[in-house]
Amino acid sequence: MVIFILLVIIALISPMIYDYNTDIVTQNLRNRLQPPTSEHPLGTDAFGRDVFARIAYGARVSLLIGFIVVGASLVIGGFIGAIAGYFGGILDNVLMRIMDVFLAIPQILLAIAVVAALGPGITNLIIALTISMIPAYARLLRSLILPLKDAEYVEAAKASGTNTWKIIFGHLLPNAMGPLIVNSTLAVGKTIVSAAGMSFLGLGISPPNPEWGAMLSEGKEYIRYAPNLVLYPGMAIMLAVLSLNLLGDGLNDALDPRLKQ
Amino acid sequence: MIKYIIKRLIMMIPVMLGITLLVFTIMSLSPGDPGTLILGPMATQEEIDAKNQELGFYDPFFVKYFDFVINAVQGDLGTSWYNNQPVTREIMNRFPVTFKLTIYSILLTVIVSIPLGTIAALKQYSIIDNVSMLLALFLASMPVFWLGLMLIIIFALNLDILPATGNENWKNFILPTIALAGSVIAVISRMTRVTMIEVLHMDYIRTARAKGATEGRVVRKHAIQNTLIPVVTVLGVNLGIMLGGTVLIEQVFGMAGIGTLMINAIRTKDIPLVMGSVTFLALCFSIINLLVDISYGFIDPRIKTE
Repeated sequence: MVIFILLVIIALISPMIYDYNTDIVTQNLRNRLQPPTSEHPLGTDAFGRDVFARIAYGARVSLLIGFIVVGASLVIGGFIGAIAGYFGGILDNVLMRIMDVFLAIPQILLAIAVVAALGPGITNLIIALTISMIPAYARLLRSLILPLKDAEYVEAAKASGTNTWKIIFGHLLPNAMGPLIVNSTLAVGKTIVSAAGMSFLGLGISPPNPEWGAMLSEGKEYIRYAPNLVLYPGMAIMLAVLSLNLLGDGLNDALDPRLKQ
Repeated sequence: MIKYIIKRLIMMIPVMLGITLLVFTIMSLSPGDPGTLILGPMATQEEIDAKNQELGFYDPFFVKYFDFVINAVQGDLGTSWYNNQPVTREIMNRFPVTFKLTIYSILLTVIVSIPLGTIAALKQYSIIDNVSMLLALFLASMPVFWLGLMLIIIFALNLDILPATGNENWKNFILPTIALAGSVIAVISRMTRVTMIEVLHMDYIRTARAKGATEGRVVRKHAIQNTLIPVVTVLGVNLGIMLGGTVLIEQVFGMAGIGTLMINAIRTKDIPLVMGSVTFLALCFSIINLLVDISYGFIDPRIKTE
């Protein structure tokens, strides 16, 4: 939790300390591959750019992608899952069989296929990762809605003539909120890793933009001379994911009363 | 049991059709056309059009899809736009590397994580438990490709005991296998531990102990089998992640597997090769899922009788 807040703060204040054009993307070849100094706390990369500044900026990119992708797939996948679970029948069958097909392709492979067709870049990366995450949310929401839809308060709402959509989004969804929040926290972590992986493969955010996966890909070329170039961005990813995993576990314990005993 | 397997095999057909349709739809969004790519920048527009016509590029979507499926069933995934080789042959040339890497990683995961999780559960809150679970927590948060890079730095560059790249002999597979299995080992050991702790509190375990069974017999005979059911489910889900991870790991360690083939195909805009690789890996994933489902029958006799 503390690490995560720290990361968010770093992501928020980095533009106040470093200027994007001079510090992040401008090459300074006289300063290339410098070891850590007081001026450059984590050294400089092969183009003489400050590694710490780039990691700090990278936090903005990674967290932003993580939240957008999870938010979008939660809305789209959640909607599909909610109506499938609530209405049941043919609609449920058709929607879930379609989702099964999506789930039959490993997630990163699906994302790779989408980027291969659309081309690299941040927007396409977000689209690709969202598409690959939608079916998981559809499944999750359906499984959360199913046991709830026969509850007495739903019967009561139906009997009093409440609009169907209001029942789904006003009554059922709030009751499914706990697992959704926990799951989304973990999903942001997964998305950050996937996004870094895609950029590492050259299918995501391309240089000179600072993104952790892209930095690892660049640093890989100099692994023999400057191992710190692959060490630090990876540690940043690990810390971000670790903090989100811990946050998710903590929320899970807090929101699940059965575990409190 | 055989009836169940046949039923599952038949169920795979619509799923595979769905997968090919999905991949085909995604790929048809791609802006390139084969004529331009095959004939190069010197070709005239008429030549390009003629080539596209010949390859059936202007056919309606469903005609193209139908052709693709009919050929794919016969083992023909099309011809590469880039080097004019049959896609199936290209994939089969690369398949052994990816296959070995995946199988080794699955074996390593099972050999390490199930005993580790069991020991951690039996000796709950001991040093082994705490250290291994802390390690698992970190391992689960590491991107596979970064773990791979770290292993290269430590074992190939600093200690110089293992090769960093290539896929010629067994030594080349050690680091990639560890890197690929790392995060899954972490997930499965944690899962085994949690499930085992739950199982050990069950009534039948108390009964087994009460009738005087030794602790070793209780664990081996009664607890493990009941622990394995949820663990195998989670393992099945993670095998998909592993299969996707091979793409990254092959790239890190410069191995000539399907992953590198696919990434190169994306760079050269070789759509048939990309489509073939994705379809092939998805087929592998479906087969793995089938094997996982069948293995339930062996672990849990209750399923067999159903």
